[in-house]
Amino acid sequence: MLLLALVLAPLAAALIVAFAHGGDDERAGAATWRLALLLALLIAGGSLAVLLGHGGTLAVPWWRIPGTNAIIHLRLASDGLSAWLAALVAWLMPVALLAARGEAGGRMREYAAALFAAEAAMLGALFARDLALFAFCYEAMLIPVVVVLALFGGYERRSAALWFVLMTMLGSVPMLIAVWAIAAETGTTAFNEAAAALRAGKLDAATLEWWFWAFALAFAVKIPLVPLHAWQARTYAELPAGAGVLVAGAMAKLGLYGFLAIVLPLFPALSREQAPLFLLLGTLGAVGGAVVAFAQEDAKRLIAYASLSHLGLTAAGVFSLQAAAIDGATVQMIAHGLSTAALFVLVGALEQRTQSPYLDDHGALARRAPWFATLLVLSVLATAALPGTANFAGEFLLLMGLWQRDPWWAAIAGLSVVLGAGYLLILVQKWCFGEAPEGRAEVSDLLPREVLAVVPLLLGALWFGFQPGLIARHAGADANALCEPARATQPAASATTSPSEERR
Amino acid sequence: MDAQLLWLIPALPLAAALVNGALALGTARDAYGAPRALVALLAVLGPALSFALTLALWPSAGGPLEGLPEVYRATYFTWFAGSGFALPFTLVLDQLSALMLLFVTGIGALIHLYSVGYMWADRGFARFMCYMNLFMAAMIVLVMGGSLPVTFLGWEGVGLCSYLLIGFWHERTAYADAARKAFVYNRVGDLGFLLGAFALLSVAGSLDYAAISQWCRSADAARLAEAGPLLSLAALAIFLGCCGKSAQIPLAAWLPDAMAGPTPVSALIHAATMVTAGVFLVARLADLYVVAPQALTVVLLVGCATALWGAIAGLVQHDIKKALAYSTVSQLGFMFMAAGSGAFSVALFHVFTHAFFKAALFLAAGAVIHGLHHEQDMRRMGGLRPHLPIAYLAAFYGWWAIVGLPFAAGFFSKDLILEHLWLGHNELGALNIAPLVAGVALLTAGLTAVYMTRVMTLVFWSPCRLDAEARAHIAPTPLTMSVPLLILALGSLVAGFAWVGLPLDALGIPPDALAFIKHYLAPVLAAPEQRWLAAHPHGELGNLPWAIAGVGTLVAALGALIGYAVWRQGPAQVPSAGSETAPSGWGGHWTFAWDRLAEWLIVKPVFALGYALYWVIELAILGISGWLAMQAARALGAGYLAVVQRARLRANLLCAVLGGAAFLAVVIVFVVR
Repeated sequence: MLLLALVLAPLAAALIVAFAHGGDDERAGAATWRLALLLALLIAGGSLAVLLGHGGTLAVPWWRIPGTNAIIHLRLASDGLSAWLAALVAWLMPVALLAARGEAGGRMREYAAALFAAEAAMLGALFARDLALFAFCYEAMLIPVVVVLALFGGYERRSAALWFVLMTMLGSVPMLIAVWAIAAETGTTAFNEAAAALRAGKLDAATLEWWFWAFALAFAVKIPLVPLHAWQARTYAELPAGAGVLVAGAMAKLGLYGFLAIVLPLFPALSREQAPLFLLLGTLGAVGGAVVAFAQEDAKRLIAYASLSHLGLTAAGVFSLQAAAIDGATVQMIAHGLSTAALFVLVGALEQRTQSPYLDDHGALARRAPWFATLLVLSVLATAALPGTANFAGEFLLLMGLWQRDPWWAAIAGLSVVLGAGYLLILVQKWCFGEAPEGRAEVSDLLPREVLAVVPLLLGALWFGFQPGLIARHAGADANALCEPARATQPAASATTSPSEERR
Repeated sequence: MDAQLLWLIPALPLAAALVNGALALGTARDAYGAPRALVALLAVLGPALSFALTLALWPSAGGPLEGLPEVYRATYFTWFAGSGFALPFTLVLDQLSALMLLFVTGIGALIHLYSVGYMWADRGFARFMCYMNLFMAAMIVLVMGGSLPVTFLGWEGVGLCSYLLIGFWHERTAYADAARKAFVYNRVGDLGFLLGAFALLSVAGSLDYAAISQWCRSADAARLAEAGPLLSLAALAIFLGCCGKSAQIPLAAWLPDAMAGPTPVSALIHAATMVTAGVFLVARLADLYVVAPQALTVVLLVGCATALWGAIAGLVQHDIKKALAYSTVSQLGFMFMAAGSGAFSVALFHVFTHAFFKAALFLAAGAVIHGLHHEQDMRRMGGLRPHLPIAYLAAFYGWWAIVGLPFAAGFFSKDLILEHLWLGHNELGALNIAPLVAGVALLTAGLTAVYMTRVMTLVFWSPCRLDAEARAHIAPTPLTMSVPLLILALGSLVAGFAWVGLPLDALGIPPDALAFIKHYLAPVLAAPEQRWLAAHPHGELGNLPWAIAGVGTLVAALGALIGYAVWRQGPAQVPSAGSETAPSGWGGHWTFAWDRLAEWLIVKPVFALGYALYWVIELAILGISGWLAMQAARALGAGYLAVVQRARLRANLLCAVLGGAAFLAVVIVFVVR
């Protein structure tokens, strides 16, 4: 029941903040914001209970999917992986609200309600153990983000929203159809029953293959993997910081989660067969994203390409199917969530003060805004995976796993680590050091609320930097269990020889 | 004392760093800054207490304990834990790390004291001390790490502090550039470090130094042959990391730029301690390197090439700190030559002596720069001996030691390196290259004498080129700077006796009592060294030590004479204040060869590729195809698009909220039913 409460609580919170304080003035906005923050913290506290194993499970029959014999169940459960990611989502929510305060002003109602709706959808997707329920929540995430983007985004928000909607839909509509087809074919949409049915080997290969690609496409867009990343930089550049915290910090991880929780257990043989392709795409993203980041003039785009790089490396690690890399992927998902959220808050704070996220528009902030500069340097160091941060623990394990798969993968993907230091320190240097550009007004330093948003994230990155085992032993172990079927299948080469053996 | 107390050694400077950092950040907007006396007290106390603790815990030079040479070993928590990989966080204080700690914390504390005087008037005093303390903590972790990842924690930690301190005066764009360059060069090496660690893990099954050594010592020939390529790969990849940290070719170019940092930083980080970490790591993994002989030959050749390159570059510098920086690069090459010939303890001995005399030289240079109010161009100095007597004294002893004239510290360590190279045996194909390398090393030693004498002559011995007003305003050296200078000057003079001892029989002291380094490292390094010697036997010694010492002294004296004779009248022309100090002509080409190579092979291609990918793929191909898709979608009037039309947003949002409420109601009805 706790799981259900946790999924419904943000929805309830969305309703509460939407109607609690009327009016669009600053006072109502502030009141709404305080209320929203309180509710978000309550929900975040609840996520800890799930993390400690008090989630329980739930399976209530709901309705029959039209045209099939399958009945959608309200089927919720949690394992280490979903519990940790849910905790990430729930704890990023207060951070997002702290960042949103300055952006929303009097219109906090819409902003907070949309963020809560997005949180509910994400938590639903993480705890869902029914394909149809999962697909519903996975789709539902989109709408509130688009709402915030269109209401509070930058100048190019319409174009960005279109990119975001179109590409995400392009990925997920086939998935919806595949879910329906699986329901029609197997008569169930429960994760484990569907997995058993799909792995039983009674379905023809072509059908399985298009289902596999339908799911893989949906998740690859969300991570994103190259070449499906075109929405990312455009969307990040226009997102307000509060929504950016949730989208860049948490939502992208749903794609990785989908691969781990759905694609690998449902299609172990195909996953194994196609793993080299995803390994290649992930590595391409890791190195290519890092190289392209050097050409960015907008800090938010730079963060977008940095994310492309770091999550590409994570995806490559997942598809190496090595135990260490899977552990590393779970650590990196949390670590990247924390550090990227911190960067988004800081860039958003500067953008609010100056209306410019451009690298060349600021300088000497170390002298003019010491708190901002200090926290920016620390966030950048975490993002660049300095040892002692969770990002290092994650990348270390990821690269180790890639090495075990093949040393070349580690050597090539490792280039992203070298390049990462380069482009991230350019950001620090341009903004914090040197002389202030001419004609720029003084920049006021961070407000307490902004410091409060960033410091816990950095403390978390430090804590998990020395205790990555907290994540790896829990989320990593469960993620490894999800990969077990794929690992156990014979490699593609022997699978193709088996039919000919039968003929003899 | 209890081994569990080991953590205090890095924790004391770390605590000082945290307090000073908080003070710096808290007073960042004040006019005056944090209370300087408090900051200074904490900053000096942290490293000084670490030094005291090191002495208190000083591991005796006794034999190995339980087959392993470690004396103190403490495991605090599990750093990595998971299904794929597990690693405890272990600190070790054995003879090798103790020797490193001795001068890291000792000289470190002295340089902190010096910094109090040097940086007192700087607005960022507390921030500076915070970074310096943080550096001490990271360096101590690097040295005490019981496994590769723990060392790596310190390894990148010192890199970070180096970055922060090089760019300390970050208003100057060139300084910030130098800082970033240092970090990125080190990152290239660090990728090698990581890949080497993975290779070692797949061979030896562990990243713990003790386990790696144990594996290398116990593996039989068949297993070694089977693992040969991976072992060589591991050794070479880790050596790439050492090249980054210790500024060896091809990653040497960052160190001279690093002189942008305040002078105490150059003395502590970029001369005495951090840059020797690469040598330390090779020694720490000596058991690995002796079973990967090709890798050790690479170490030897890289060290040789770097030593020669640095010495020649040192000849043409005008900036006093740059000259010393190229000298450091060159001396680090000497250390790697020693390690490359299998004489790891000799390499460590040179690390030890170099720490004294190079710190003395840099701090003396700092006193000169302080005295002349930030003048660094040697062409504009001269005749400073009577004006800055203490700086002169320290510089003179440092010069004596680095040139390698008899009895000073550098004489003994350089002599031992030449000896081991001359007698050594490193195969490149069928050729034994060690004696050839010895020849180059001797030439380099001669060049060292020339360029160091040039520095001394231009600064102290040639006619004074300061105008009357500048001469009247030379700032005296404050006490906090003088005390470290005198101690380090003394150290430069006597540190060599820590290997050779002194004939003090008359005083009732046994002859080897002072020669503690010679045998001290044996529990850690004797086994790999003997293994190397067994496989690559040295020739007969005979009267050779005396011959090499004689030739070495002669070459050094000759070099010094040349240096004095050529520059005793000062430079041909004295440039005006603030003019360019970078060498031009062939000297410039030689000096910046590696910069330009990296610029054209790596930096420019990365940026060009970045822009090309961004404009062609991201903006043109993906952008245009996406735009077309959007136009198509817009034409179709997909229902989703209505969501983003701003005019109707409020209505849509209301619908969404109501929809959510309806959903909530449905769920509750179903669940409660």
